[in-house]
Order: sequence, then structure tokens, then C-alpha cells
Amino acid sequence: MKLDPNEMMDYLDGTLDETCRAQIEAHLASDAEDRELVEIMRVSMQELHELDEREPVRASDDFWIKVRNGLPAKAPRRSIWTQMAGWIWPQPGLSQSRNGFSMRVAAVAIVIALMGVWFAPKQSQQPVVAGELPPDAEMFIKMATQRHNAFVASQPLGSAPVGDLASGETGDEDDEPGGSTP
Amino acid sequence: MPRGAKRAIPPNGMALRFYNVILPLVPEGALIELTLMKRPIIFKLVAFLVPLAHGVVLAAPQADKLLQATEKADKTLRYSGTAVVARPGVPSKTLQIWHDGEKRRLEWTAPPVSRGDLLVDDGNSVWHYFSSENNAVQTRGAAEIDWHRLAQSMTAKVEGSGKVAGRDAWIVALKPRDKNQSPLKVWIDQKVFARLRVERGSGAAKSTMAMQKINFGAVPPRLFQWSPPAGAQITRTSGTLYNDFLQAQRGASWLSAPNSLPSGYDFESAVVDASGNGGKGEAWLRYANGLSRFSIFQQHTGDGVVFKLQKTKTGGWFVQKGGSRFIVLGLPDAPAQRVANSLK
Repeated sequence: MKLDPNEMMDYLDGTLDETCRAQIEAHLASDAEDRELVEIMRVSMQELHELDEREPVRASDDFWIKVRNGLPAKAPRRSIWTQMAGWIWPQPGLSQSRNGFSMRVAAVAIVIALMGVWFAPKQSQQPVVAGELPPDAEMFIKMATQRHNAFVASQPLGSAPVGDLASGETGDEDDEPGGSTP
Repeated sequence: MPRGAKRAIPPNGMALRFYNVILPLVPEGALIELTLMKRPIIFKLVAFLVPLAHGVVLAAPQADKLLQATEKADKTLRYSGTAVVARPGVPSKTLQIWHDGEKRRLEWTAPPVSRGDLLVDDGNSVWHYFSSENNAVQTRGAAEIDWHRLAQSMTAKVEGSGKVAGRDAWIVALKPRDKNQSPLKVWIDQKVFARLRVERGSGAAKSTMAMQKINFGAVPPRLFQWSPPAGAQITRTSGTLYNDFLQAQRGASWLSAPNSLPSGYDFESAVVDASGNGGKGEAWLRYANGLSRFSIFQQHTGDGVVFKLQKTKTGGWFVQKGGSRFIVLGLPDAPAQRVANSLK
């Protein structure tokens, strides 16, 4: 016995009842090929979810209607490129077979993996951490502000203290410098 | 041009004074009349006007000389008094001042929230004590007005004279060449060149620091000795004070400087503590335009952690990159961001 793709999807979605889930798990324990397929699908779904969380894509309500209306009445003639893609992506007849399904899942996984590498945040361009500052950074900010305020206070008409909550002053706004010098 | 006018002005220093001082004051019509006058009358006029011009020049000293004198006096004068600092939109602050050359003590007496606050500069280190929080901060070096630097970015002119705290003063107006800078007006004591009043900005944005009372004479040395009261929370600034950035960098290779500075600002000093932050090192860079200052604090972390540029609750701009965390303090938002972004 081999698992149906729909069964695999239902199993991964967690929509099966207890009995069915137990049967599938028993089957997966004994069938290495199906177990591998389910694992590939699980990873692919996780990747898709993470991608969606990072850069959500939302289609309008009439998106699919417009797509359907935009489709030609006849199937277009397949170019050489489409045929080459067909070798990777199975033909309609093949897609119903187990091999076709495996190849599709594998292709999706490869594409997702490549996208992950391509769009992965680069350390030098994007912050590794952008959330709450750690306590030592908060302490650094507090002590730096105290030192700066104590320093400028020795010249009362110089720079206004920053973060002077008592007076509501936050900077020396009346001395907005204009340009910058390299 | 008529011949008479040509001969009327002798080519010597007196003529130069005549040209520079008297001629701009003479209306154009009168000047034409002057050129048409006969030679003896012109000589009589010159004989009368030149001593007058000389007297005007003697009576009002040159503005830059006055500023130099006040800078020098600041380092030698001894006095005590009361001053009021008024800034737009915030309550005025009253403070007692004791000044002895490069030492000073400021005690805030008003408004109530500032009462008991204290700043003691013993010429070496500065203590700033916030009484309401029982918090004392010790820093290195005091912020001085750098008149020499100000004179480079502003044109100074003696505007007249006035009285402050019962003393006669010259009024020097400093007009910035850069329209984004605020104009300044300084009242300088005519006898001892003490700074009696400073006005900054104009109109509704004007800030003022003015002496209300001033007494010249010795100040007890004990006033410049101070240590934090028991139980006070203390923030110290340790490290070496440098007046040269490259020298500071020799002792701390990780020290970063901004590639972009706001117009008119320049490096003033740095405090580098190579053993700070658990031995990783920390530094404090100070930049000034003569009157205003901003600070860049750097803490060397040596890790790859990156935090994007963000405004802190205290009004500074924080960023962590390249193995260091930085905060820029004392600048408005836009130039502070430019400075922070230019740090490498």
C-alpha cells in the first residue's frame, strides 16, 4: 500500500481523525519512501509559511477570476523552453503517478531552498537583531546621556541637555545645523 | 572727477581712516558737494573730521579684540554672583556662580525641580550632582565657549554699550555666516572683560544667560572641592583625555570617527578608556562649534551584533555595527542621523 498525496496533505495539515492518523503513522514507520516524501512536504510547507511571514503576499478577491478570464481559449503551443521545463515538471498524465508527484515535491523543495539562499538577510546590510535592546546596551545609553548632560551643563547657554524630562527639553533645536561636511 | 576732490585727501593713514570711517557716514549728496568745494575748505573739514573719526575708533574697541579679552579674562577672573538662564518654552533657571580662573561652581536655586543641583569643576574633572535623584556624574573637562572658533564662523561687531548687573558693558553682536546658525550677542564688562550677559537666537527662540549680581574678588578654594554624598548613585568617567583624535586613536585602534559632521562643528576632545566595558574599551568623542556641543559615545563589543539606527528614549540616536555600539547625543534628529550613519 502507498499513501495518496491527499492523505499526506491531510496528515500534515492535522485534519485526520485519530484512527486515520494512527494508521498513517504506522504505515510511515514501515515505508521509507513515503516517509521521505512526507518529510519533504513538511519542510516545504514550513518554508512556505516562513516566507509568507517574512514577506506576505496577498491576492485581491477577484485575482483568480481575472486569471481565469485572461486564459486563452486554446492551450498555447509549447515552446522548447516549456518542453524542457516539462522534463523537470511532469506532464499532466504523469502528475497523477507517484514518480511525478515525488518530482514535483522535490522541485518545489529545491526552488524554495534556492529562494531561501538568495533572499537570506545579509548580516552587513540588515540588522541581526532589531527588537528590544539588551540590558547592557540600555545601560550604555543611560550612562552616556548622563555624562553628556553633565558635560554640557558646565556651559549653561551651550547645548541643551538631552532627555531632560523635568524641563521637557530634548535637544538643541534652535541651532539646527544645515549641511554636512565630509 | 573735479580736480579739487583729488587733492583733498592726503595719501596717508589719516586718509585711510577718513575713507573707512567718515566717508560711509556722509550722504551721497554731501559727498558731491564736498568734491565741488575749494581746497582750503576741504582741508579744514578734514582737520575737523579726522580727529573725530579717531575718537570714535578709540572709544569703541574692535569686536574681535573684545572677544579675545573676554576669553582671557575667563581663565583668570575671580568672582561670584547670581545668573538667570532663560530658554524659550521652559522655566527660567537661577543659579549661583563662583568662578576662579578655570575652576567654577554652579548651584541651581530655581525652579524647584532643579534646586540643590550642583556642578563643580575643579579644573580637572567635573561633578554634576542631581539632588532630586541623589545621582552624581563625574566627567572629564568642562564645556567652554570657544570665541576663537565662533569668530571663524561669525562676523563680530561692536553694537554699542549697555548696563548689566550695574556694570558698564560693550555689546558685541555676532552674526553667523551660515544662516542655519543662531546669532549671538555678548555683553562684555568694560573694565575687566567679564562676560555679563549672552543672548542666543532671536525673537521667540531667544535664550539668555544674564548675571543679576556680580562681585569680583577671591573665592574660597573649598568651594571647588566636592565629593558625592553618601548613598548617591555615581557615574564616573575614567580614561585619558585627548585633544587630538589621531593621538586618541593610537591607543584604541577600534575608535571610530564620523565621516560627516554638521556645518561649523569640529573635533574638540576625546576621553578613551581602553579598559572600560569589561576590558573591551569605550570612548567619548566631543564635537563643538564654539558654543554648542554634541557627543558620540562608543563601546567596543567586538561581536557581530547589529542594531539598526534608532532614537532612544533619552533623545539620542543609537546604532550597533562593526563590533561597536554608538550613541550620538546633543544634535537635532536629522544631523544626528547623518552623523550616526557615517560612523564606520
